[in-house]
Amino acid sequence: MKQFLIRQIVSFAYLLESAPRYQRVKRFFNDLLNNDDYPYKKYFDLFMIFVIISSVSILVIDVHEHVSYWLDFYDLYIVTTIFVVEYLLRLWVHSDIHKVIIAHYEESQFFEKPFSFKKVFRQIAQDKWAYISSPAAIIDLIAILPSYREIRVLRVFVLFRAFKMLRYSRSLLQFFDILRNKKVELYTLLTLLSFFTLVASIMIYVFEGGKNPEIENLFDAVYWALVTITTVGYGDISPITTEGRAVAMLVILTGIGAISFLTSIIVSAFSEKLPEIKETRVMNQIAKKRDLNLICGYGKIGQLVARKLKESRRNFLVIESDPDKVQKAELDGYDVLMADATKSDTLLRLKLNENVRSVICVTHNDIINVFITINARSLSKDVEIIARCSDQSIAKKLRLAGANHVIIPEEIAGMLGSVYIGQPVAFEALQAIITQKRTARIDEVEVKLGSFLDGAKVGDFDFSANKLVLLALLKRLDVKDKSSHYVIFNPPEDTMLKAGDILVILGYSVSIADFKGRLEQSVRYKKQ
Amino acid sequence: MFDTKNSNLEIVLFGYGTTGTKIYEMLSTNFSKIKVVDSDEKHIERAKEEGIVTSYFVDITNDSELEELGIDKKILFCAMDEMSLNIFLALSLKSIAKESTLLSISTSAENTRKLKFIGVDKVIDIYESSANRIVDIITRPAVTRVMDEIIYADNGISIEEIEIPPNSFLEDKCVQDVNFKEFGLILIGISDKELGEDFIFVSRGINHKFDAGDILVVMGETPALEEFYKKLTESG
Repeated sequence: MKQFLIRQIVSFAYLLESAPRYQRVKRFFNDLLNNDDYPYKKYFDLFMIFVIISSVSILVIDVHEHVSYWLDFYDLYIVTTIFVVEYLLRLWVHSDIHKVIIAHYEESQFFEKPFSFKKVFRQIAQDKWAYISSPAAIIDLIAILPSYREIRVLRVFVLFRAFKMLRYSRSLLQFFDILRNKKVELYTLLTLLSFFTLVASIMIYVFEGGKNPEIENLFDAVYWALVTITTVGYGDISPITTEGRAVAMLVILTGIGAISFLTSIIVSAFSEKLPEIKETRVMNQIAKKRDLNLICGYGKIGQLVARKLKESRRNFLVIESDPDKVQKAELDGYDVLMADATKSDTLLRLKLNENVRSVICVTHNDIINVFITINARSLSKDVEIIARCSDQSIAKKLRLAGANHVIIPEEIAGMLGSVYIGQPVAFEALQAIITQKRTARIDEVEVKLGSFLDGAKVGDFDFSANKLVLLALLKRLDVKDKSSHYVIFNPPEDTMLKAGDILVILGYSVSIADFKGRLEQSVRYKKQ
Repeated sequence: MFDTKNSNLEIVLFGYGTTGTKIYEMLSTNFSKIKVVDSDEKHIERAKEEGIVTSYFVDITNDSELEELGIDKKILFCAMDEMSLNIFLALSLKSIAKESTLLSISTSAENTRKLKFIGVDKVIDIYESSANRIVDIITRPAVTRVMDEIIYADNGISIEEIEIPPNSFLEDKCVQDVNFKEFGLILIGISDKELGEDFIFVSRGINHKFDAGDILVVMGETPALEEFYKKLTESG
């Protein structure tokens, strides 16, 4: 009989293990309940918050006014059912019973030992108990209790439904996480306080038990001690004897000490965790952004790049390891992460392959820039890397390490100087165009698929009549690779234009905007 | 290239430290008459070792020593490593050589402001220009690519300014009368001396009349530019 039962149970466990549908359903509920990255969890959380708020509201209104029948029904049956189902689902997805059975069965087969029900049940019970005894699960369970209307005290537990909301709100959970780090200090303080309360209450009971009409029993004494030690001091019970007042004075002094101790524990817990909280906040904000530019190093160049990128409304994140510079970046109002960009962990956390467009290495140290370059390139083939260095020999190494662009500040300055000396007028013109200080500027326009330029010749469009100058044409070398182009300066009139080509044009902002607008529109018309 | 201006330009580079060395490298590719001056003997020794004959050890805080260099009507480039020294030097040079063109590097917006106040003709902020370049690479990759090809790459494409000589074939013609595309050139703009130093971009659409003395800014390949220049001077 026992053998038959074992075989049935074990084969059922194997059936569950091999049933894709069961696995899928279970994974779905697990995602819905526990996986923060699962898109639908948000809606489930919102739904639960709604249920909780509605149920709490009904119970509160019910204290004085009678709520309508259907609301009462909703609260008593529907809400309770939802809570019970949620509780059971959480219990279910917490661990896999069938896996335990299979593991034990295979173990017993391997060692040729008899299959022990006792062991299996103990293991299962342990797993599930781990869930049942967790604080969140206890709150869930207590929150179900107010449905049992016969016991009035249980109504107090309606508050636990509000506590249940904690589960659905991350910031509130964070608060408890922070306090958890100060567990030892808080326990110590609690023990100390309970000890003092106990001593004080016994003393006041002994001194005033018969004399003070307000203190009838030990509970009154404990109540007085607690009210006094927490510096609340209602004053409904006050000592009347000299001995009692002496006790009160001691209790008050101890109370002030204890309360300030408590405050300092909480404050220090927060200030210790502040960088972490900030980091989580930054990471959450950054996670939503695509095409992120990482500025590694917040020195002179880093600051300028950050400011200019902000002006042109690009997404960027400053990564800096020096706390002073991190603080400066924060004050400047940028997203900043205090981390070491030479560590692969840092870049992986930022989802280098998916979200990051470019890595800008502008620390003051060439070697660190080389390290960041190697780090980024080893993790991603496609990310664009711009690195700063001070010497050609380092530049060579940077290119070898995989940097797409190398910036040598002194060389750029020298180049600008030499262009200025040779051709001051051309230089000023170029400078004006490049820095976009005047209204004339150079811009790039991509030939969109299906636009009027797609398939046309350069000569088909009269650029000069539109007050534009076509400086160059960038044609794609490789159809798949978006970044490989070759440049044709001053393209002849019979050059064919194809989708994906980039025109570099010179003109006033108005003309360029007009040209871009027309190009966009022509795409729309072709589609219809 | 198109007049003998470039080769005749005399440049005095002040400072041969880390920054100065780099700037000398860049300047020496385009210009031949460069004097190097530094107040640090080691820097000058190194310059001499590297084959720069025209390098001089001068106490730059001493005005008479500076005057002895013969710095009037030349191009003076201040590139001392120490910024305070650089600003002081710029101030001295401005007071001694009023006719010279004065350039200076700068390392911050603060210093740029001071140098401009002194009256330096062109202030180049090392970090700002690098930052500009980085941002351009990110925000306008194609434009940056084209600019690189024009300014940095040695592929024969360049932007040049050409002064219209008297009695050239362009005289009394308007912008729209001349097809620069025939020459394989792009006319970017004109600086008209009569109208002041203001630069007129062609794309503004004004049909400007060419006069002798106007400066054309044209882009194109070197042979095309040379041919255009030849035609311009021959017709005069």
